[in-house]
Amino acid sequence: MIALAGTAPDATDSALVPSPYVVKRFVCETDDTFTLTLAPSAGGDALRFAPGQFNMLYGFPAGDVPISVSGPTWRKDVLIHTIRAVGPVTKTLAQLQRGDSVLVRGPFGVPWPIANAEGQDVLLVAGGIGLAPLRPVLYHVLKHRRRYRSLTVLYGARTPSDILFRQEIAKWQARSDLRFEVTVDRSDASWHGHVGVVTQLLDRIELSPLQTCAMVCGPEVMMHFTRLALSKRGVPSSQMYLSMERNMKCGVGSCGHCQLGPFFICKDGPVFEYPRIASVFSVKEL
Amino acid sequence: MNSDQTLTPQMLALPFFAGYGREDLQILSKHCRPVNWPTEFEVIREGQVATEFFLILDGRIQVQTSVPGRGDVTLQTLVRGDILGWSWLTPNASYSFSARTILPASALSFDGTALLRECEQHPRLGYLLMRRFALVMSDRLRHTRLQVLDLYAPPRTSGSFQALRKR
Ligand SMILES: Cc1cc2nc3c(=O)[nH]c(=O)nc-3n(C[C@H](O)[C@H](O)[C@H](O)COP(=O)(O)OP(=O)(O)OC[C@H]3O[C@@H](n4cnc5c(N)ncnc54)[C@H](O)[C@@H]3O)c2cc1C
Ligand code: FES
Repeated sequence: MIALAGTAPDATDSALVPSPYVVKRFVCETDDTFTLTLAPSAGGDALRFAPGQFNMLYGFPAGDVPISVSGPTWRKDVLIHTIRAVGPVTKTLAQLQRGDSVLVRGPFGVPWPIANAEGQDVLLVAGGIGLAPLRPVLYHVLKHRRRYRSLTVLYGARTPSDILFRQEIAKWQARSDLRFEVTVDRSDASWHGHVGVVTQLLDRIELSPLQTCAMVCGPEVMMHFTRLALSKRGVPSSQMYLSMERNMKCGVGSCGHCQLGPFFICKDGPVFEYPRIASVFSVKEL
Repeated sequence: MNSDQTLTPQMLALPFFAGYGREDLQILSKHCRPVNWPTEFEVIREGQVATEFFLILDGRIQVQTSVPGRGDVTLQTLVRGDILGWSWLTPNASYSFSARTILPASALSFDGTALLRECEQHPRLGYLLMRRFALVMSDRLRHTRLQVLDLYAPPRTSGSFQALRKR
């Protein structure tokens, strides 16, 4: 049985001091989403992280925002972040060019329970930009494939042109050791894949509920309905993990900006085993 | 045709057939036949008189509607185990949507008109069948409501960042 999500490494003082990074690569994923590959300006290793953790990225002068790491843990030289340009900071980051500097602080937060999921079926359910924080889990499970039973990824995007990591997804779909299903809410004539919400895919897959570790990331409403669908399929709530989002400032549990009920998302989350947050999840006032 | 011939154990394992007694299955089987469709086959057409429903056994089917100026818009895809068509439940009804295969598909086609007559005489079967369809419809409604919510919509502040980069 899975008892706890991964444990958050202690946030030390150095976590409050940003490190300078340089943009090595800028990739446009979709019309509003891009991926940054960042290397330490001073050379050497990048910050080490666990899948599900995030960094605070500074978009000068707009401010800083929490962004999950979307690259593999074994890339020691760089940090990879996939970002949707939604507001002032992320739009500033969207204007970075190769060679520009960015300040990075982190990594923060409780990671996905990749160690606890060993020996289990791994089910990743992602909606929209939620695929980015789950991608490191996918890399990890594929690299250590024998430690896990089946691997299923269900990914919902708004339209075909909003699908992230297209080429990589095509490679994953060609593999026989994982099942990767994509669905879109709205299709166009070019799309021959699934149309419908991601929970619909969940109703259709084969599942050994008691042996499944489900990790879910996306808008809160999507996670709410995914959780209900998982419960309907018999997956115990102690085997469901959700990644929560709130606005952040310090990232280390001292400013109270990211409070959700009794929790600070930056320190106690963002990844939570569902029963821990059941009482505050989907509460309108929170 | 009796149930032993038409309905194989693999078909009977589908959730659609759960909970029926032997006699119910015999009646269902009397009014169904296997069908195979090639890719791009129009299974039903919007507005056509609705007398059948289909249990998808294999392949992938798009449920579509025609939107002026946008052509055929796919609202949903159906795969193995899914039901296509419930308009036959109401008398003199016509299909509300069209359906077309994207991959070669096979299905069981049920004669809805005949089944409605059977249901009048076999209320237990009628009750089970209506419950099954109520479930199908409530699932569809739930999914459609989520689709309408447009969960991944960009906030009003967003837009293509590529325009910003060109500045
Ligand atoms: C732990 C954690 C990890 C995160 N990881 C990522 C990540 O990997 N990639 C990423 O792009 N974002 C991620 N986010 C979200 C990101 O931090 C926010 O989108 C951030 O608020 C953007 O700041 P901004 O100043 O650009 O826009 P803001 O001014 O904060 O937001 C502008 C508008 O966009 C809305 N908004 C904010 N985020 C979203 C969203 N994701 N979808 C739709 N509308 C939104 C806001 O409600 C507001 O109306 C993460 C958040 C948390 C807490
Ligand atoms: S961001 Fe300051 S307490 Fe969480």
